[in-house]
Amino acid sequence: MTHFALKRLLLGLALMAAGPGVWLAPPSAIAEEPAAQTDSAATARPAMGTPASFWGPFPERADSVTAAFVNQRSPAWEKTLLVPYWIVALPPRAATAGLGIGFRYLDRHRVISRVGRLLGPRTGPFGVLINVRAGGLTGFGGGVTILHDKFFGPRNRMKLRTESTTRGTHKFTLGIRLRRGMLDQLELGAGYRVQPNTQFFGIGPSAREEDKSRFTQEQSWVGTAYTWGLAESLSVETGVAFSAVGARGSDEEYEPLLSERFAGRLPPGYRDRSDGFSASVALRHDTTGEDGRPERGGVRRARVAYFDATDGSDVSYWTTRGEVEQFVPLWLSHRALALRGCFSWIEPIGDSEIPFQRLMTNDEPDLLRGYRDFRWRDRGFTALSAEYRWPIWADRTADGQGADAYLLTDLGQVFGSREEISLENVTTSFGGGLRIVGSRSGFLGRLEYARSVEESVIRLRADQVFQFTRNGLYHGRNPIPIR
Amino acid sequence: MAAIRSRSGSRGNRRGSPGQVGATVPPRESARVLALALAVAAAFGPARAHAAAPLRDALVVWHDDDRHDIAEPKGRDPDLVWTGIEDTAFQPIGRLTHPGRLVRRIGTAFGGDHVPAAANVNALDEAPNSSWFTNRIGVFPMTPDEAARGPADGAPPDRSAPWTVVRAKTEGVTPGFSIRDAKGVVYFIKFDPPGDLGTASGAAVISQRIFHAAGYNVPDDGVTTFRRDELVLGDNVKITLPDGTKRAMTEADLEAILARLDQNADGSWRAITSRLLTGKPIGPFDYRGRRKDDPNDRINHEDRRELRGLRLISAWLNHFDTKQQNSLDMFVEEGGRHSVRHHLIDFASTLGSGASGPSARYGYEYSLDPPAIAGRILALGLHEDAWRRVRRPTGLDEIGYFVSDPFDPIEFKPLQPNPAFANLTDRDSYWAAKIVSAFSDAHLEAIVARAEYQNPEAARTMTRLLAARRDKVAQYAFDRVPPLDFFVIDSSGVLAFHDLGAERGIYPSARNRYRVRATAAGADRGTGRWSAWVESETPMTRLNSGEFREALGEPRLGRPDEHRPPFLALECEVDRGAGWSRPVTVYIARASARIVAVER
Repeated sequence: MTHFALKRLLLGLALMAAGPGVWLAPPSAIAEEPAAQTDSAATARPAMGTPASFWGPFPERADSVTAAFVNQRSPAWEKTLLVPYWIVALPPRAATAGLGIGFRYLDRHRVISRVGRLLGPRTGPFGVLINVRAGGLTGFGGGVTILHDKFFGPRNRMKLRTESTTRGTHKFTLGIRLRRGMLDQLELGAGYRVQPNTQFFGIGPSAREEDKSRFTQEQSWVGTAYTWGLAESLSVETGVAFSAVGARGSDEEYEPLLSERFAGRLPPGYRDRSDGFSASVALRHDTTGEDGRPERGGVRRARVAYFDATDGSDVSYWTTRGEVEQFVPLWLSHRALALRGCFSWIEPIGDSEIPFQRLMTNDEPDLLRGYRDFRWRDRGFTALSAEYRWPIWADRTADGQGADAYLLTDLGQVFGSREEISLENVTTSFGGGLRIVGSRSGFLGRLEYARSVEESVIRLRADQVFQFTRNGLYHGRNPIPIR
Repeated sequence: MAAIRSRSGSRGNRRGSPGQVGATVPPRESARVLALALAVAAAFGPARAHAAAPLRDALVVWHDDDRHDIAEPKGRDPDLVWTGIEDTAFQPIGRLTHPGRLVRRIGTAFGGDHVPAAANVNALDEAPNSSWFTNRIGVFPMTPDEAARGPADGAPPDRSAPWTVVRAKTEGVTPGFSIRDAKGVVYFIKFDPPGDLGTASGAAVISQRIFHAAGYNVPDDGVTTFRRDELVLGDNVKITLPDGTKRAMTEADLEAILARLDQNADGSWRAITSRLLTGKPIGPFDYRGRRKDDPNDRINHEDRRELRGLRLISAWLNHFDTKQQNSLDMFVEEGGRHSVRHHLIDFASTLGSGASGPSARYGYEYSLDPPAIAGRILALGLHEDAWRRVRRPTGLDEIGYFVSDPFDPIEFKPLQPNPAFANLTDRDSYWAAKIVSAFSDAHLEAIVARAEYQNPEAARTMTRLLAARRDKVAQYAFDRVPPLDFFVIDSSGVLAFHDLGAERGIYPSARNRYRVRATAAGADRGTGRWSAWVESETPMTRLNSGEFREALGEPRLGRPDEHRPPFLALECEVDRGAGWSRPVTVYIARASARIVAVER
């Protein structure tokens, strides 16, 4: 007899012994007998005059028609199975019970509600948010954002943000936005960022993965920007900023060091400090209307900036940048295709060498998401990104707070000359993620996985690649490099 | 081909492969299979003998003995957020991994249920009257006026003097307060969410009337309007603030509450009045387990028929907020005895409305539904959720997201998974559908009228939607359990029954035929030789017909006969054009001619 046939035969015999009727058998509904029939209702039929139901006369409450229903006893087989089940389930049940005791204690003492009010949608002008980020080069970290929506005026805002990560990255930004009229605004911003494990692979689209090295990058900036609203969706932004950037060696834990890997061919600006002023003007056309879940419209932006060093070097250059984003609604509600293309180019003035820290690189928002930050550097950067987004959860309404999933692909490269723009040099990333959208505050964060031929990267971020240019100095945007 | 001998303990390459003739099964493998088979047989073989209660020639039990005098149980105040986490995450995982449920899930392939049957059903598969439930429209004929009256006709607060505000709250989305009228009766006053005047208040009154007529214990709710000069602030009134703290309430607080509310065109405010329940509140009941300090509470709540069946009734009314905090146990005194009475409360979040405003999503998904989320991720957005197609009736602002299409009764989901709902069986569904289908269009019209919608078209639309959803609920259950019910025998030996599907218009175009066959049965429900089927166009059969006499001999009802099995078993089926249904079996005692049991 074959193995399979024996199984079937024995199982069939067992089920026949059990009988199909067991599955259909009615319950043992009453475990306790009704009390002795001592009243007049203890006859074949209920007393006359009782209300008529669809079943006939419905008896009034009496011993003969009253019984104490109890739980059904578990069958023997179930009791047998439950013994090992309860043993195995004991640790998680104990953990859950402990969690519940702790949670209820905190809730009883209003800790949960206070934290919820602190972190939840703000009803007043002052608020505190907790930032969390993970993945990429910076590792896991968090910080605090302090907001005030009526900062020296009913329409002015202030945002103070700090962040630190397990890999020693620290970031501090302060931004102020002052509204003027309906469309104009003045932004003031300052920031400081130090990242001890910044990567350097060399310059150019051929920078090799094997040449990975590390250094400490330190950046600080202060600036101001004024935006004139020419129309509801058209604006001109001018800005001036002072920035300082330095590159030095890292701690030994972050090997290999740049100075060792590139001994004899250190990139310009290493172990130097580059200070200077930049001035820019940008024209922006934004028809998206919101940054939570845009389904139509787009952003078009063109920017020109001039940088001049104040550190005694003769470094100066022009930066030009063009960016187009378009959101395309798809066949079902709240599905959208987000498309983005950008092009940035640094044109030096004279023979000065641009410090490598000020070169274009794949850093926010110009991410090639299958690569860690700072993988590629050069004077030019171009990228195409696409995301297909669809909703996976809504809190109450389809347009309100919720979460979307998305598939992504990024194509892009750096280049030192236009001839280097080629399919051979283009990098490809693909992946997916989740976007969290708030009810009033728009985009809240993303959790993302992307892959390239070199590596896979997971990111947890409170910013996004698309519509990044909405976030100016007030939101802590780093003007290095100029984008 | 020579057999391949296997050594004890050897595996893998010694195992016979498909197509290899003559390969033997290794002993260890055979032993495992045999053990599995014996386990299944042991599990269910003996269980069969205990599965059905023996038949008794006795009156059917219609009352649960759960009102013994007891000491006051301790009050319950379950944490709202933690119970939400438990119900949403931990309880479903527990149910998914419970070995008993897993085995029973396998059994559903053979027609069984995924859980044991409800524990509090009588021999006619009905829920007896108890401190939880009182049989009304499901078992008794009820006029539309009776159904619309509710527990006490929703009498509004007495207006012979201004109402005195005795307590207020500003926490939660909508504010509210408690008032005492001139007769000293205390009412809770609740309002519609801003921008949706009439939705929550209308829904609350309609659903409260329906739940009462269905048989549940509910507060006495009504709709009323009042003006500012009908309110006065009482002495030493406390107001609960959004952070949960309390302080003395001022006139400014009262004005601030009223200022947030929408008003009628004449400047009055519309509100739901909910009369304070009799007795002492001791907190909500959990839909799982029992109240340990209540000796009358003997059945796990997830195994109570009325709580399981509540799932379909809630689906009908889109009562998505069925968390335990929307229930209330009251310690009451009746006839000198103290016991607990169990109530459902707060029906503002029904019929497409919500305390925070209408939401299309509620009723279609849990607040957090990981399987649905995972499904949407894997589907890559190529499938549209049903609720995203739901639209409010055009121009009828008093009705929320309440539609009859798309609507699938069994796909209904409250905000949080409910342990009792998870135990719904086909028989529980049938019981609930029997109640739901008992509400005729006239009943619904009378009940909806109590909502006092300003727009008459809103009332007509609501009635129509309730009727359409009612029919879907009934059809769902009646397709699974034949709706042959209310069997009675008259003195001439005619067994008559009701085809609820035909009577209540659930299958309007079907040409219905019925057939019955009979046999003798013992107390253990063991049956003898069945008679031939007797077909008819009407739901009745004569027990002393020729076909039955041939199988049973003379049925001779009403006279004891110790030479014959003491009971008769009759199987009844219906054919609506798609073949004969599953049988409904009725057991009749020969001696008393009494119907003693019904099996579905």
